[in-house]
Amino acid sequence: MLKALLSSLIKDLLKLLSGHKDFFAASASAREKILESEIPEIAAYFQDYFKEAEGKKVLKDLKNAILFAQKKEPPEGSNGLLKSLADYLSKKFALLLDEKKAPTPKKSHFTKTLAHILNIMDYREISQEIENFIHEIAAVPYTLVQSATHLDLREKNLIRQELQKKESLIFPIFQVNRSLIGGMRIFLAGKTHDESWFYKVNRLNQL
Amino acid sequence: MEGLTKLGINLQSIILYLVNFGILLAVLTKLLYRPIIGYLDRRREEIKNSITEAERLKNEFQKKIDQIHKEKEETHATLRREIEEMKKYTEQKKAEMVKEMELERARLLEQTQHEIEKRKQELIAQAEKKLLELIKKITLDILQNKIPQEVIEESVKDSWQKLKSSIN
Repeated sequence: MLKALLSSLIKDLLKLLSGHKDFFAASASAREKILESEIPEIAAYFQDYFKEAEGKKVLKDLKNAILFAQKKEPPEGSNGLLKSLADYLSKKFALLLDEKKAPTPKKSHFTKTLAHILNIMDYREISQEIENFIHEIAAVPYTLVQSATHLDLREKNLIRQELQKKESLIFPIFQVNRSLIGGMRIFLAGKTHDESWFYKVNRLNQL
Repeated sequence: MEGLTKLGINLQSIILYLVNFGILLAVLTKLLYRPIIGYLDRRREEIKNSITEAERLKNEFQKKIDQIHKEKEETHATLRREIEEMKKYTEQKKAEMVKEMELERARLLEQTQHEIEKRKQELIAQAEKKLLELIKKITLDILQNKIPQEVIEESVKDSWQKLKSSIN
């Protein structure tokens, strides 16, 4: 999934750069407009990167991204492209994934690939791949949110936003665990924060 | 004299008898009386010697007996002393052994009490653990099967509020 996603993103970016050869000479606001016209779905998440990046840096990041997609090279810590992608996935795409809703419009390769992924893979598979990717890019800790019942979209988003205050690229995976009986449990950065009823009943041992 | 002649006793016979008696006496004296006297003297001497010897032996024997009595007394005294000492020693050892046994008894008693107490605590802990397990089982059963869904959903929201503060 990741390889397809990166390939489609790189295609879109290369298309953008080949179509706008003076991109790096343009002003910040002009670059912003170009991004919004070419890759509207993800433009907001790449604004900051392209606002300040130079051509050489972008090409270097692109090359690293290609080699990373082919699993020939690890991602570089300074690769702003990959970080921007991680930012999009952990925020905007996470909402789409919760709703099982394909991004619109589907004019770019990237959004088409996202729609295809949402069609053929399930929540668990997609979440796991995204979490692994973000962990590789930015060493963000694995985060799992288990609840006794299904959380609605609003609740998931609130939790996600709260967790992302601690670490911006956190991509929590939501899971229903009926054995908790009630309440919720969060695994974050190697620690367990447990407010489930099951945990509270088991603490009776410590009376 | 005629009377004596009627009896058949005459002077010649008498003299003959007297000479005969005298010869007999002499012969008897020489052959019998002297040996017998000599034998009796020797015998007296022997008896006297025997008596003397017996006296001497008796004295010696008496001395020996006295000595033996003395030694016996001394031995008895020594034995009595040793018996006394042995008695004292035995008494002392008995007292020591009794004291040791008392100490050992007290130690065993304390150890047994300690073990009983330990076992009691273990049993209490086991019983408490089993009781807690039972309480947990009953509680989980009630929570899993008797609590309405809305309450569970509410609990998820409440727990997120608590977790929010602990995470931050």
